[in-house]
Amino acid sequence: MSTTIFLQALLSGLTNGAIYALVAVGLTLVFGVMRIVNFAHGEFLMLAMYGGYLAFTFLGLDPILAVFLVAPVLMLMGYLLFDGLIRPALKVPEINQMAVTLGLSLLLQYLALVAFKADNLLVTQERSTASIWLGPVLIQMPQAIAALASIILLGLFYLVLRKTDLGLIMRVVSQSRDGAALSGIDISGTYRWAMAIGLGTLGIAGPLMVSALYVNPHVGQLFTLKAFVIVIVGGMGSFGGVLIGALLVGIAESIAASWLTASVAAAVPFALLILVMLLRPEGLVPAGGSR
Amino acid sequence: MTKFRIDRRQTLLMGAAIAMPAIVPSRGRAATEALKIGVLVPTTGVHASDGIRMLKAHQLAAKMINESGGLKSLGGAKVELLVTDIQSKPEVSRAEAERLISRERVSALTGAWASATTIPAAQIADRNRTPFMITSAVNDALTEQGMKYVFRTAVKAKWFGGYIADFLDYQKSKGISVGKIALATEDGPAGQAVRSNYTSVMPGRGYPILTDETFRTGTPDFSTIATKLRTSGADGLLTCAYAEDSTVLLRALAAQGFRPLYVGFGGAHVNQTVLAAGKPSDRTFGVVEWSPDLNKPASQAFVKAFAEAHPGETPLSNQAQAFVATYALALAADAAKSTDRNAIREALTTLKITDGPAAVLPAPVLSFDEQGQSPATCVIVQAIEGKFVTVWPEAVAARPPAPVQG
Repeated sequence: MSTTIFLQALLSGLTNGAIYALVAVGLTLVFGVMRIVNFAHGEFLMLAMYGGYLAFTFLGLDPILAVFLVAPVLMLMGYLLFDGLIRPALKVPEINQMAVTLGLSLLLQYLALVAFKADNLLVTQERSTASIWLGPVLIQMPQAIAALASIILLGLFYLVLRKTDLGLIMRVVSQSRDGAALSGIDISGTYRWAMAIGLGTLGIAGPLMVSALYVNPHVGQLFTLKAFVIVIVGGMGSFGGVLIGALLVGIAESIAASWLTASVAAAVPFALLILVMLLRPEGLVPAGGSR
Repeated sequence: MTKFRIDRRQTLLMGAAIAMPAIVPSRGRAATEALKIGVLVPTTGVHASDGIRMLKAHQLAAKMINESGGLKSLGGAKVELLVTDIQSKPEVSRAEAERLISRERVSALTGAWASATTIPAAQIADRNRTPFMITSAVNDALTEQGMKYVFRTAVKAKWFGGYIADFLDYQKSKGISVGKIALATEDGPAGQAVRSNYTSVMPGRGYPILTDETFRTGTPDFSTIATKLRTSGADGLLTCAYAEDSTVLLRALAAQGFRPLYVGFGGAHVNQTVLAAGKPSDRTFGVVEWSPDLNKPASQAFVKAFAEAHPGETPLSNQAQAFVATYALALAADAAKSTDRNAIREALTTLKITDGPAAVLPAPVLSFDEQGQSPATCVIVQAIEGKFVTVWPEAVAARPPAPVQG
């Protein structure tokens, strides 16, 4: 493998990793705060991607602007989802909770199939084939924008969590729900915010990713499993972990794909998962805290 | 000891069961039994877009057959399609084939889009002595392993290389020289078959392969592959990829400013989705089994009938194959004067279609050899100004190929 190809694989891996982090951060937030495993996470990304496509096709909105429309819609969905489905599910055993979100995942895919049909839809702009050259290697413009948005968002998350009251409350609730309740914190309210923000991040990822990729009712499936691997490898509920996990997965996947056959390379993120689970089961950057 | 009590609910149910035959008229008493054909298509899952298209073609064939009087030798028996969704999954395709054969007692099966989903279903059909008419799968082994009940209207993967080499020779004769090839194929059974074919055929025909890349369908990023293709020094690129992956690859190539002579594979490339990518897909070629602008009366009739049934829609290559597959099964049953599976199989081996509504595909004759393979051929189309146009062979071309640059 030549230097150029290695460098390109590395750069693409970092870019993809940043984008995966954007997708996975909502998942780790929901898990960290609520201990809910949301199997429908990829489907909300799919809905956000359709949102970006529709905003572009029918409102003529550039995907970057569409983010300001789609993210609030996804936040609202998160809000409604909590009260409608998740709050009742919190009372049942965890295995049932998983079944609920799994069922939701399938339901959303098939509803999308009915609403949008199966066709692959594209957002095609001048920018779709523009690129940024860094010496012999390049980043494609849509991917670069998504990666940049991801880094900005993760930075904002860090600030919110460390510097604001809401962030403090979320950290407290994720460390000890009972302790937080005893301190007078409104647990339901915190959960609602966590879900809203968790899905809201997908509202940012969706329009930006549809310009780099395509959308169909099953596109969320490409990312759900990867997001889970990232969240587990990084440490469930840990934000530093999400970024590190995502970059690791992105780079491992990219370099493996350029070095080995496609099928073997596809197994690499899972091999990484197994390795981390064997050596450091709490994840690379554990969030810590008890129930 | 528990008493056996028949309560009111059970009495009602028993009464309904007894009364049912009197209320619901029994079917199948008429002299004409229908020809039941099981149709395996993915209407959900990653291939849903293609599966739904294929289904429309199957349905149009059944409709046209029934409206022109059905199977005359069977007293006007109608073709009845039993459609099932295989969810783009091989294990579901297998299970559904099993179900259609043993529970629904179909006379024949057809389908099932991708090679990955067709192989298990064809094997089940062969084992259960039920004719299976492959519509679109290109994996060579399907008509090379002596499965006596498996037939195919599609072209085998190993033939495509030959047709592409013929086309490149033709380009060379017109002064457009392509010296060195790169390959980019998906790593499923279809892509593997195509890659195996291209790597064995192209070098022998004078087109050395400098690099051959594989990828998983659904890969979100093609920049590294695009870099490898660009830095290989190739000026021609042959691919086998599903439509959505093609758009990402084409954009990645355009972002790097790399414009090789691109030949995509089959209906997966010659597709509305690929055209929607705009400039990156413009001037790319596709090697396909059929094109809507083909100069054959049955073909034109098919395109017209399709447009009437689905306004604004033009059929794609694989849909013509599905249409012909359905017709072939019906014509065989008609020739055999029977809906019996073995009789249909026998009739398929001697079928020879040269005209009539089923003569849609470019080859002059539709027949099936001892391995069940039809002598299917290909044409080359090119994306010019947002449409795919047939550019080779000259005999059926609408216009000569346009230059790749400019």
